[in-house]
Amino acid sequence: MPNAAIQRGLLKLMLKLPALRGQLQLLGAKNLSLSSLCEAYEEASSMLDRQRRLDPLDHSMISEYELICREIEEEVISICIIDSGREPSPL
Amino acid sequence: MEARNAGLAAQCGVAECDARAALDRVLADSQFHATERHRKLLRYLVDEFFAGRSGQVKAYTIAIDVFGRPASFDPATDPIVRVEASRLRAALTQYYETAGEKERLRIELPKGNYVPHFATSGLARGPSETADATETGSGQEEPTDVASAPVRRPRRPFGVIAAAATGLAAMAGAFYLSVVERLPWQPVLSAKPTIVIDVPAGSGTGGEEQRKAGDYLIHALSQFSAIRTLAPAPGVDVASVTGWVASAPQVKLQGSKEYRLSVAYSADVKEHQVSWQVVDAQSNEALRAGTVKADIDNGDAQAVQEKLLARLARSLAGEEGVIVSLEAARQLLTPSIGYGCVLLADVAASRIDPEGLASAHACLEQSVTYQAADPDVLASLAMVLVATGEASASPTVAARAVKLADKAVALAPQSSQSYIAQMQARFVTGDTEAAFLSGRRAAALNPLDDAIPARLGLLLFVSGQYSEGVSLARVAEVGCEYLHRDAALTLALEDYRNGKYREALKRARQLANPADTAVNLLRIAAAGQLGLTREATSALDGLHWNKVGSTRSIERELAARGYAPELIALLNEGLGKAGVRLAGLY
Repeated sequence: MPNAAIQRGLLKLMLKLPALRGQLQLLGAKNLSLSSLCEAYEEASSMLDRQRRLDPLDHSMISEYELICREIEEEVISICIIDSGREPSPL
Repeated sequence: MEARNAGLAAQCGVAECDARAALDRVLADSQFHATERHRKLLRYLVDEFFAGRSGQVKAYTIAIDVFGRPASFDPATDPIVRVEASRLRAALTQYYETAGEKERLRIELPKGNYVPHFATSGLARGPSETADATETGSGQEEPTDVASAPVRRPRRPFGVIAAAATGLAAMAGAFYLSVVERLPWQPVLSAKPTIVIDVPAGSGTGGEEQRKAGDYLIHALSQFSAIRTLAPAPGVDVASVTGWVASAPQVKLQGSKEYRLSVAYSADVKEHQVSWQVVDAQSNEALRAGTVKADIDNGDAQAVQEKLLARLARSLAGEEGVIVSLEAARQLLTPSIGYGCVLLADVAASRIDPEGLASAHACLEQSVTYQAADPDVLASLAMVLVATGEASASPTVAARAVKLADKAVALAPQSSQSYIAQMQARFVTGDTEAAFLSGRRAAALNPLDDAIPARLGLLLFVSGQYSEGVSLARVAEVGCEYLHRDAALTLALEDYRNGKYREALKRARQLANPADTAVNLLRIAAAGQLGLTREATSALDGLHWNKVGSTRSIERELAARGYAPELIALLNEGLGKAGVRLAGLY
């Protein structure tokens, strides 16, 4: 189950950050930080989707989870940047 | 249970002092890319571990204690704890893989529970490895059954603890100063401060007096939107102003500094007296204390009590009040976005400090991107757009200020600050009557805040409604320890308008602030009327209007800021006598 959540989170991040798809796919298998973030992203984005469907809307909850999702995306980008710096691309 | 927790410590082979030092190092390292939330969570988990309470740490307790969720929190519907624990785990892993690579003692957060693991170099195990042993299998992290009894802690001399605490505070200060700029995606968010009223229970008549005083003080403080007011016991309605409903147990708001206000009320036939003390709820440090007294002259004890407590509330939570000053000082030491920017803006606006306003503006813009629905931030941004002169220079900016203020009003219809922002934004767009309506609503929402009639009075006065403006300035003047700048300027302008130039000049001198153009203009004009050319010249030297990108003359600027033509003409007359032409001033 958690592995499935990690996988779903990774796919969602690949959709959200298309420029990093290749790198995410490679890192997803070996980077423990990225796995944790994928899992967190799956939970947070699902929660955000649920909140956006509620009536009436809980704006503070939506803002909070929007912020969390945005922060996770930034954290994932920084992991990719650090990784690119560490292992220069063979191309 | 105790054996098991102690066993864990022994298994780690790590002394508590070493573990705590490792925690301090990671928290103080700017390379540890974790949000304030994660830092709080990590510290909490380590504290609970060494207090022997790891077994009691569940998603629910973390949500309440660390994330400020209400008592009704349900981990099944709100995954906040699992999400943040995963992010913390990622931040720790990332840190020890990069910057903290050489760290001898590593703190890990294995998956499946909320018990930290301390691994010495070479013995470190990956989180996934631990996960295999403790995974709950449900995808929802709940701790496995871990011991909860206290672990025996080594005795340490107090001096060592104090030195470590001082060092930690210094490191934390340095970290905070760097965090806002260096980690743009991980801002430190702050919220408005919380005051918990603490009125010691008494018995008999004195006890009843105390209780009544406590109730009225909660009512008075809750009208000020600069703070969150919590009653000492559940069941007291503070929602009327803050929009937050008290429930048991009291909920801590993330990023909100908590203060405890202890109040002792005493009354005799001659006078009423209230002694107060503001205490830092975390450190128990007494920050400010004082005594306020009032004589019973008309025999109405209740009126005296209410007046006394209203004065206390104003001096605590009003503009430049004790709590606001403490928070502003804290913001300077540990910059944050969110409510911290609101404080910066308040301080800069009260000092008419153009540089401060510019940095508060940038801070608020950043906050809005993270907290698009925070009424305090929106209202403050609207007020800053007006105060910097941007709104009067550009109709687009003015429209934005109105929109921001309208949103603040929609989000916090019980907050007087939202209506003040709406008043100022509407006034600058020329909707004066609508602006005055907003101002009156603000005054009705918080009749205790003397800054509201002062601000409204000045706008009424400069727009030509002199008598109403003056009467509001006098309202602000009565029962006040210091006179609000807007009320003082209104009264000075009134003196000038009535030909009382000497009085007007005296008031303008008292308000001396080189950056305050309106006051300086009045000073030049009054000096001109009195033939004091030297004073007029020196005031002229310091004159510059706080405006952004505008090349309009000060005369046109005054008109754009809503000054009535008659008032501008009167000022021009005095300036002419001082040898200055208003239309020629830029």
